[in-house]
Amino acid sequence: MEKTQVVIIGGGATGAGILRDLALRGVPAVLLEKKDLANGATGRCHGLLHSGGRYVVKDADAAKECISENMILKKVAAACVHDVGGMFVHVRGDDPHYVEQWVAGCKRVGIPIKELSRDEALSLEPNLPADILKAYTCPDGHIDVFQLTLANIESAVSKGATFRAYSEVVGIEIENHRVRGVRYRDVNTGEEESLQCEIVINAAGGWAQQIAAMAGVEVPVRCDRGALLIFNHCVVKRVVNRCRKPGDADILVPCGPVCILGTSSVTVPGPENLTVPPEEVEKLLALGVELVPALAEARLLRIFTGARPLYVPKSAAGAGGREVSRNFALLDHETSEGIHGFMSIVGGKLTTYRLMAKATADLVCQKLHIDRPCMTDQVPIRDSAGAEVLKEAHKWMPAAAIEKAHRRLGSRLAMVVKAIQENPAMAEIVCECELVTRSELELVFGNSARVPVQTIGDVGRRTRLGFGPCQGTFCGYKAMLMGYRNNKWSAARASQLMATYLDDRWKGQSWVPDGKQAEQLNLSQELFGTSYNFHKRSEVSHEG
Amino acid sequence: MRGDELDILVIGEGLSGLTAAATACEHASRLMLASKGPGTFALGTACVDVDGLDACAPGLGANEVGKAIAFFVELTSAAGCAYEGGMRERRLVPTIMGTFAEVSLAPRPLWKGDPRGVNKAVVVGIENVFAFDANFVAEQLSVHSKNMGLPTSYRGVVVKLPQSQHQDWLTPLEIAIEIDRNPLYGQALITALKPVAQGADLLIIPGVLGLNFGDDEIRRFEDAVGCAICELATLPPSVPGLRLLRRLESHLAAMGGEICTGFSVQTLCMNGDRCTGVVLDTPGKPRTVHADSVILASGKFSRLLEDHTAGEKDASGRTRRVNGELQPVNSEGVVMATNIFECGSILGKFESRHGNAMAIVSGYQAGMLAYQRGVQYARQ
Repeated sequence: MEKTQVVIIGGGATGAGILRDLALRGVPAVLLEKKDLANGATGRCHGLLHSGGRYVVKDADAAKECISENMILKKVAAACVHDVGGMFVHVRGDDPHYVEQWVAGCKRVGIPIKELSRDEALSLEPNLPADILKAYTCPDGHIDVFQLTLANIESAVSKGATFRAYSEVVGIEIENHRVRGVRYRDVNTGEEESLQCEIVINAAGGWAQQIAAMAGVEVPVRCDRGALLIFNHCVVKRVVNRCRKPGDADILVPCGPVCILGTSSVTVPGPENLTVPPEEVEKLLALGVELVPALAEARLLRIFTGARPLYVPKSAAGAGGREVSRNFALLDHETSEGIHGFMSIVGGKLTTYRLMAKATADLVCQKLHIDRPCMTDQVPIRDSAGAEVLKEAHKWMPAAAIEKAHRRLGSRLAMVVKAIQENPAMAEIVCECELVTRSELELVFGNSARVPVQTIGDVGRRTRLGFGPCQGTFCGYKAMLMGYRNNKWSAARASQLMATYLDDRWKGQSWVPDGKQAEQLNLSQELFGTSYNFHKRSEVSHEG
Repeated sequence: MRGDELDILVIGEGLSGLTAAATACEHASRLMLASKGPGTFALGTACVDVDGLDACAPGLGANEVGKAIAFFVELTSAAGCAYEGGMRERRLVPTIMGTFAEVSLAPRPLWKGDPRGVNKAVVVGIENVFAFDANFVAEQLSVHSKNMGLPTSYRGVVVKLPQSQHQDWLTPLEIAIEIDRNPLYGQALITALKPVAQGADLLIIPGVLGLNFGDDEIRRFEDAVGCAICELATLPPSVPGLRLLRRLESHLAAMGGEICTGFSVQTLCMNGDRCTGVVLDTPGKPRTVHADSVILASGKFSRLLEDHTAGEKDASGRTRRVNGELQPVNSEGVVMATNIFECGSILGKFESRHGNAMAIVSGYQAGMLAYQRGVQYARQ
């Protein structure tokens, strides 16, 4: 039977971060994820690298963690972070008293802010309302959530760790109050496997309760659903926050070619089958327009939703979603329930994923009597390509495509450039929005991919293909053919995957109120439904 | 540019606008077709499914549908981009997903793709044309034809074409343009296809034959290769749809119509219950065009009439109401403009497979009505 030392459950940023932290300390580990990486809250958030400003008034501890992690991630995860900066804006009508508290809070916590005159603020961000009262800069940023998770896993895998996607844990084996291993199911084949280990880490986010229950343990996690709106271009250059008590739709984050407005806060029973009612979209949109009026004219591409897995200890059970602390908790089930080798890491937020991983790995090392320090605040998460490679790349690829590919691939950009040198046709841009070349797709599907793909959506999570205005109508088809050509899947399987992919891409667009994206959605459905007589839209479709 | 006083102005260059313009053009001396750009039909396979249309669009008798379809078949034939099929016909045409779509009419190069009566078909891909895979299409077509109990076998083959001078990869559209520009390139394709055609009943190729290819050119090409050829519509921009659009445009121009594409209509000029003309968003100075009758074929996403309806949208927000004369009416049934005739997919709810058929039928009717009404007004 297969053996390892540590099994991590959940392929979000936290699980991926733990896998890498342990790998850097030389501790063998396997990460099991029931779908693909970043399937839960990680892949369904703004991607905001908090400066901590949002929490200074209510939750100074969370704010302190944020600013310290913010500084570290900008250094070690530079490839996955866009250091665009942020701005807090006091909009007319909002409580001036809160602004005072906020400024004092930033000072106390140590968040570097700078007050701007109205003219300065408007010259930096012309799309803000002309009558804003005050504005401050802060060190917010944007995290490419898929790249962050991928980079952590790739780095861990290159050091001997194992990542298994589409592997759903179905049981935790416990003997004499001691963890012996886990049983998991290969989602594609349905076969069950066993994996022996000494320690099991529950990093399943919104699914943490279900995992804990397999060991007979209760973990108080509450799922708090938030909806986010994606617009087809960046109406702001930096992260724009509304300077008031945290509420709905008060953060707008520029994410590469698009920008994301969010979010809402609704308690839900679980992390799956989430939907966004039209009233909620209307409300978010109206609030967003108050903050950035230009959003009224922007093209809304897609709406997505995810559940924040909030840690709600019994003492805080009555609090609303926004009042629950964003602090994380590392629950050692040995001390609380007497199960040796089982722990849960819950709560927290994307910005503090590294700190959560460090705390977890520290506890693992303590239990295994391994005395090695955490390295994740020092070692860059992704290396970069040499100057020679970049110079060569400029002979073949557009500069913007090189910049994006370099962030995604690091030193492996060399492989992409080499393939193009051998066959210049490989420089063809397959996804026009994210400038993904055919050569990069070959790498994603090839044997040297460190984290293999199994679906067309997986390709998007590696390359951002299909995330732009066409929403995969054209590039998704090309990615499907690429998988077929690389013997990744048969023609029948490719067709099946295409249908699932279209359902997923159509779902997020169908929540968009009647607007400019409706034409694109209609085109996609007419082509694949009527013209190609391939796949008609169905009302019920959930990716989970 | 001719005068800006027209008998009939058609807005929209989709299938319905083109049909309406061609219908009206036979009678109107001064007709203009104005559009922002090609309609969606040029992006898909441009096939027409008439089956069951009269049943789901009450008020449309088989007679009316038949007349419109017959007109369209004649029109495309005269324009050199003939459609095959008819109201009572059913054919299976292959697609780039390796499926078959059942249709009533299709452009001739696609119509030939029906598997019935074909034993050996070869799907041909072209090296470095990324968005088409012959083996994928062949594998899936085999599965589907087998499921229907047909004996047709499909084989995928990839041939090589000389590199494009402009870039290192090829797209179907660029190949088509190159074939138009350089006869040797077309010859190279013939040379590549000839050995593949040995022993085959049918070659299925991505849409790459020249944009300027009419029925005669395609026939000559087939003769040179020595095998029947079925051309598939690839991902947009795909050649068969664009070719059709070009042919219909030139045909319309030859009939005396003026084509003004690339500029969207800013506003409709209204005077009481009549539309006196439109303002086109031409660069520098907007162009005002006056017309006796206006055919509105601007598609289901058009918001042109919205300014004048003042919230008269129905619950779906889309399906606009027209009366039996195809005139737009408000929620009380009052005609909003007596000389506007609407056509295309805005007329009511129907199955999306009927979209192109609806466009042809309503376009034909709108063209007739606009002409007849125009005559009436002239007499008054």
